[in-house]
Amino acid sequence: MLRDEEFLYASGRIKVLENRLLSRSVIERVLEAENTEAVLRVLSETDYAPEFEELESVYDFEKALENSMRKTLNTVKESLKDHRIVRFFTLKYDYHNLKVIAKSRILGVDAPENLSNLGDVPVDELIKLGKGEGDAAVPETMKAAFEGAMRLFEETRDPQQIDLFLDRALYEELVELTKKIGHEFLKDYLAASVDLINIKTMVRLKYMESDFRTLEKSLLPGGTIEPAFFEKYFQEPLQSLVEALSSSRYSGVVKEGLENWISTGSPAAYEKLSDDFLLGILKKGIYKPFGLETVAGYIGAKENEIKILRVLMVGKINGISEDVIRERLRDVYV
Amino acid sequence: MEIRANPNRMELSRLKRRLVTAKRGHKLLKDKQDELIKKFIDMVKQNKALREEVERELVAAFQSFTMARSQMPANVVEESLMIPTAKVSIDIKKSNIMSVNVPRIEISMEEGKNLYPYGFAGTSAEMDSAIRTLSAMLPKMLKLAEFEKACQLMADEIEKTRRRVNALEYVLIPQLENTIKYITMKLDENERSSRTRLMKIKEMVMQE
Repeated sequence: MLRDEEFLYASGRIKVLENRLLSRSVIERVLEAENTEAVLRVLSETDYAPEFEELESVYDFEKALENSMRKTLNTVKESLKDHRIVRFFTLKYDYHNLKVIAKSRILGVDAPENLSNLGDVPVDELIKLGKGEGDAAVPETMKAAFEGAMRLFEETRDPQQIDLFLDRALYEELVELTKKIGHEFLKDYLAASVDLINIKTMVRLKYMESDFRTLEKSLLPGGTIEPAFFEKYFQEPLQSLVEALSSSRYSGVVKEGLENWISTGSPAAYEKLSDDFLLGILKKGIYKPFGLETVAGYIGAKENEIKILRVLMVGKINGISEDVIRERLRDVYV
Repeated sequence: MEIRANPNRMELSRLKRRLVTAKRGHKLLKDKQDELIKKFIDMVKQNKALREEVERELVAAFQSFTMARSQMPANVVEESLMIPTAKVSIDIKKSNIMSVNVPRIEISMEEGKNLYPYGFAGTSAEMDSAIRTLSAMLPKMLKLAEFEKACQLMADEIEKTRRRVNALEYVLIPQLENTIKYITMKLDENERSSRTRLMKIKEMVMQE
C-alpha cells in the first residue's frame, strides 16, 4: 500500500500546476471567440501559449495538444519515484500504437503514421516488433497481445477483431496494474470507467444490430457490473436497462444520458455525462492536500482539458454552432 | 455557297431527289431532337432533385463525422478507419435512350458484413452514426453519378442533332432549292433562246 507521504513532493508541485488548468471562464471565452485567430489569442494567455505559438497552422492543433500532454506527463514523472501511476494513464497510448503497428503490417505499410508519442514504449521498438524482429524491446505482455491480435486477424480477416482484442488486453493490464499499485482510488476510477464504457458499448451494439458474440468480445474486464448483466439486457429494450441501473451509482448518467440517446439518437449527452462522472471521482484530488489522488486527479484533469480543447478547436475550425459545441463540453476540474 | 451544277435535265432530277431526301431527313432529325429534349428535361429534373437530396444529406453526414472527430484524438480516428471492412463492387452496364448509350451502375454490397472496423473502448459512439449515414449515402451518390453522366451524354447528343437539323434547314435545303431554281431558269432560258433562234431562222428562210 502506498502511503500518502510518498507523494508529498509531487503533490506540492501539482498544487501549483492545478491553478494553471483552464478555468470555466477561459473556456467560455474560447467558445465565444468569433474565429480561430480569436481562439489562439485567448489561448496565448494560458499555459498552452508555447505549444500553440510553435504551430505553423491552426489545423495542426493536435500536435500542440499532444506536446502539452507530454510536458505534463514528464513533469509528473520528474517529481515521482514510482512511475506506475503515470503508467496507468499512458498505457492506452502504447496500445493505440500497437493497433497502428498491427494494421500497418496488414496493409504492408513500412513507416506507420498516426503513432502517438505519449506512450512509454519507444515507437522505434514497436516498429521493429511490427517488422517481426525478435529483439524488439517491448514488454512481454504487449508482445503477447500483438501476436494474439495478429493470429486472430489471420483467422477472421476482420480488422475489428484486432481492436477488440487489444482493447481487452489493455484493460486486463490496467486491472493488473491497479492491483499492483493497490490503491482503492485508482481501482474505483478504473472500475467506473469500465462500467460506463461497457454500458455504452452495449447500447452501441444494439444500435448496430450486432450479435451476442460481438458483445461478449467487446465487454471490458475490470468493471463492477458483471458481463451476465449486459448479456441479459442485450435482448431487452433499452428502457429496461435504464430502469435496471436506476439504483446504481451511475443512475444520473444513465437516466439523463441514455434517455437522451434513445429519444434523439445522439450519444453526445451520455458521453459528456460519463466523462463528468469520472471527473467527479478524480476531483477528490483537489480536496486532498497530498496523496495519490492529487497526482492521478491532476493527470486525469489534464486529459479532460485536452478533450475540451479538442472539441472547441474542431468546432471552431469547422464553424460549428455554439450550442452544438456546448452540448459536448465537459465539466472542468478546478 | 452555291452548288456548282451543270444546268441539264439529268442534274435537275438528281438534285430534286436529293432535296426530297434532305427534307425527309430533316423531319426525322427534328422529331428526334424534340423527343431527346423532352427526355432530357425529365432527367434534368430528376437529377436536380437527387443532387439536392444528396448534398443535403452529405452536409449532415459530414457534420456528424466532424462531431465524432471532435470527441477523439486525430490519430485514434485514423487508426479506427485504417482498414475498412465493407466492400462495394460496381458493375457498369449500358442502356439506350434515343440511341444515346448511357451508363447504368449496378451496385452490389457485401451482405451481412460488419460495417464498423474499430473497437469500442477508445472510440466515440458518435462515430457509429457518422459511419452509418455515410455508408447509406454511397448508393445514392452512385445513382447521382449515373444520372449526371447520362444528362451530359444526352446534352452532347442534343447539340449534335441540333447542328445537323440546322445544317439541313438553313444550308443544304436552301442551297438545293436555289440550285434547282437556277437550273430550271437556265433550262427555260435555253428553251426560249432556241425558240427565238428558230423563229429568226424561219424568218430568214421566208425572205429568200
